[in-house]
Amino acid sequence: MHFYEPGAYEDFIGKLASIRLKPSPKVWIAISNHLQRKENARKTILLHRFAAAASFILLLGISLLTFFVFNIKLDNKIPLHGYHTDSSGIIPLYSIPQSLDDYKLKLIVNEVIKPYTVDSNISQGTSLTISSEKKSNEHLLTTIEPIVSTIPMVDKDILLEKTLLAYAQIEYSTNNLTLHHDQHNVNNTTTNNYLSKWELFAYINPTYAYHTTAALNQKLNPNEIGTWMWGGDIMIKRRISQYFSIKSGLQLSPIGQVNKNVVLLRSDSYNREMMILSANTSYGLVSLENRVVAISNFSTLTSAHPSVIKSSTITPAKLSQHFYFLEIPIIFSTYLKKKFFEVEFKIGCSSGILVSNQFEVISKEGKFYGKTENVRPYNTNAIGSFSLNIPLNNELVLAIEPSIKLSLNPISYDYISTYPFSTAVKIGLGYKF
Amino acid sequence: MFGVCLRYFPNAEIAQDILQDGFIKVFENIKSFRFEGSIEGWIRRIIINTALEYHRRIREDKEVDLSDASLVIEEPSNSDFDYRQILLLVSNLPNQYRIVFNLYAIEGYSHSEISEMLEISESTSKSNYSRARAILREKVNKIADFERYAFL
Repeated sequence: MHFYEPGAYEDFIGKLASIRLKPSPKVWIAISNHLQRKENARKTILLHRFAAAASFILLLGISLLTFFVFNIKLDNKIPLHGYHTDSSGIIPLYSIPQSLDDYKLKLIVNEVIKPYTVDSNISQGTSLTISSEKKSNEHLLTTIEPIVSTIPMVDKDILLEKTLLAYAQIEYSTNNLTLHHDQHNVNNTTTNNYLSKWELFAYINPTYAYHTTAALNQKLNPNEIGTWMWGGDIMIKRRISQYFSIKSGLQLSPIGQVNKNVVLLRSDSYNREMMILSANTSYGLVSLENRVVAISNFSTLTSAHPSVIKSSTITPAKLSQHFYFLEIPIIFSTYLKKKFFEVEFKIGCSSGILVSNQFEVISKEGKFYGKTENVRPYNTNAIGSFSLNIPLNNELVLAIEPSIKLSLNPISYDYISTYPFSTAVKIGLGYKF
Repeated sequence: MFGVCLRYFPNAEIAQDILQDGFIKVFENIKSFRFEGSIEGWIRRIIINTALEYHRRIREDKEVDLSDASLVIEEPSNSDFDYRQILLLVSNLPNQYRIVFNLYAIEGYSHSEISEMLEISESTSKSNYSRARAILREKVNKIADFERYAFL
């Protein structure tokens, strides 16, 4: 009986299946490093997602709060401070013997812009009418004396003093009223409206962008330098008091750098290894999806595949990386002066999404474009600036604003110590309304 | 597992890349292992899938360097036979023949499974295996004959 006997081929299959080899220790180190990096990235992603969500909610909350709180108008039909009013909304003067200060403060706090007028047809036994409607000068208070004389319970001099003080404060806070002490008249003026509540600003921002790794001399790549880029803002400003304002809008914020430590390799023929070649930058890896042309650092060129080195022409090149973020900022500001011009100090934060990621390689071989790898699609920033506001007329303002912006998260998932920052001299035009 | 990678791509650098990618997948997906089979089989399956992904990526490119010069591997754990010679025989096969041969003859997949994995027809799989086997059988028999004469 003939039995099947394995031949040389079957023996070969058996040997092939039983090959046991140890890989280089570098493989395990690479696996360990990769997993560690991924773990770190996962933690930071969670943290930054939380930070981005918190920032967004904060921005939204503050914006809504600002919108609703500062849009509450003084309603004559609502009793002020719980004073007794009659059916017409008139506050009897006798009911506010000690409250002129309160009323004065109320006017100031609410920044009453429209001229408040006091009914001139006041006589004994009648009441003081307060209205926010615009009236002609004939309806304005012409004399204080009759009013004071109608209040038997209040000392005449004290009330007069308080009334004058109240009007003086109205003039000071709104600048729409002018008090003539000698005639006890209040006149409506329209010459200066620098306290318009809303202002719309459009800025153009020549920006110098750089990053902390190079700035702090922890150089990943010694030939990285900052670069000038263009950005822009459209902002709405709301004055929330005499000395403070809040600002928000949309910003196109640039980040970038230039790297002169790269080489461009052009192969004579298609070579798959060209696609593997890449250059390291502080903002992440850059590589050209091309089998003929590749980019590399001088320092990493030695690790390129021998076939790439043999078959390629190597030329020095300049790498420019550009990123643009569309951001929503929220900025608080205060004023130092308010004469011919204002100096405004600002501090705030912004959060946005990546809208453009492009790098450009320029060499004698031509220009090549691509995208930096592993870039974070969002960012959060801290903003500080001061602004010189020069009024051009009653409605237009020229603003010159040196500013600095520091990113609160690295732009690359791979280089967690590299935080981009930018400085800009914003030039803007504002419209008051 | 390195040996498995080398069977599919007999080039130390490529095999190490596949091994690295494969083990990263293993560690990232270790929670999905349900302890219903051997962990070695599960890891092997992932490594093979990673090798097939690599194969799909380079399918259009016929210029993969699998020369014997790239088979310099440190510390063979088994020196009963010359693994270099065996891998060299395999490396001379065209890419797809080698993949089909490994999947069918070593891993034990059916031609219908291979056709799905490689996105080829079943008849192509059979044809590739048949040709790979014929090439290898011829070479192996020649070597065996040569060794027999040398022994005599």
